[in-house]
Amino acid sequence: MIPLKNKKAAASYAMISFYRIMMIIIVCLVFVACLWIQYSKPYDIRKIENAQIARKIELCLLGNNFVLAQEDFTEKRLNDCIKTDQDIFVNVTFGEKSLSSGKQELKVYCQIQNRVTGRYLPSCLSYNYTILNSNYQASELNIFLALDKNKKNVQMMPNK
Amino acid sequence: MKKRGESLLSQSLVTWTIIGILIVSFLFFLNNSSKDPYNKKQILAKELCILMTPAKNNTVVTVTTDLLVEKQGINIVTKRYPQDPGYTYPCYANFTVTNEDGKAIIKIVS
Repeated sequence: MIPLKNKKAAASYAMISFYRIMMIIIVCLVFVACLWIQYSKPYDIRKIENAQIARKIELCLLGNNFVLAQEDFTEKRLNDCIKTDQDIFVNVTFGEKSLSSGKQELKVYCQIQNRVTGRYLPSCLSYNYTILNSNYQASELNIFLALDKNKKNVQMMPNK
Repeated sequence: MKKRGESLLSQSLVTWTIIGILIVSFLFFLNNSSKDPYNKKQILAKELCILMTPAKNNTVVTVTTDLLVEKQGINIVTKRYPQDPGYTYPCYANFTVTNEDGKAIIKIVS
C-alpha cells in the first residue's frame, strides 16, 4: 500500500483495491457458472427409450409366434415382459382388452400435455402394431408409454 | 528504489498474483469441461441402456472403455474408478455385468 498520510485517503484506497479484486472474482465466477449450467444439462433420451421399450413389449408378448391369442394376453404376461416402477406407465390394448402397469398418475400428466407446457412432464408416446389374433385376423396392438425419469433426463443436477 | 515505487510494485504484484491465480483456475476448469469427463459417464450409461433394452436373450455386449460398468438393482452404473459413486441410470432390461481384463461384458438374460 502506498503510505498515505491522510487516513481517509488510505481507507478509500484500500476499499477501491478490494472492490477491484472482488469485481474480477465475480466476473470469473459468472463465467464458471455459465459453463457449469451448460455442461450440467443432461441428455434426454426418453423418446428413444420409449420406442425401444414398446418394441420390447411387442416382441415379448408375441414370443416366437406371429400370433397373439387373447388368452395369452394377460397381466402376468405383461409384467413378465416389463417390470414397471415409479418412472413408467404402460397401457397395452389388444382387441377389446386393455392392460395397465406402473404409475397411474403419469397417464394424467400425459393427458394434460396438450394444455399445459412444462419441462418436467413425462415423455408420452403411443405405438400401434398390426398383428394376427388367434383367428389369424389382423388386429391392432396399441402400446401407450409414459416415461418419467425427469431427474436423469431433464433436471439440471450434478451428474450422479 | 524509492519507497513510493516499492509500494506501487508490491501492490501491483499482489493484484496480478490474484488475477493470475483466478485465470489459471478458470483455464483449468475450461480444459476439464472441454474434455467432457462429466458427461462421459452419462453418455455411456444411456447408450448402453438404449442398446440393451430391445436386445434379445443371450445377447452379449462387450464394452471397452476407460470407465467401469456395474449393475445395481435395475440401474446401470458407470464409474471412473472403483470408489467413484458414478452415474446411475435405471434401465428396463434384464442383464448381468462382469468385468474381465479391463472390459465390461454385459449379457442379456430372461
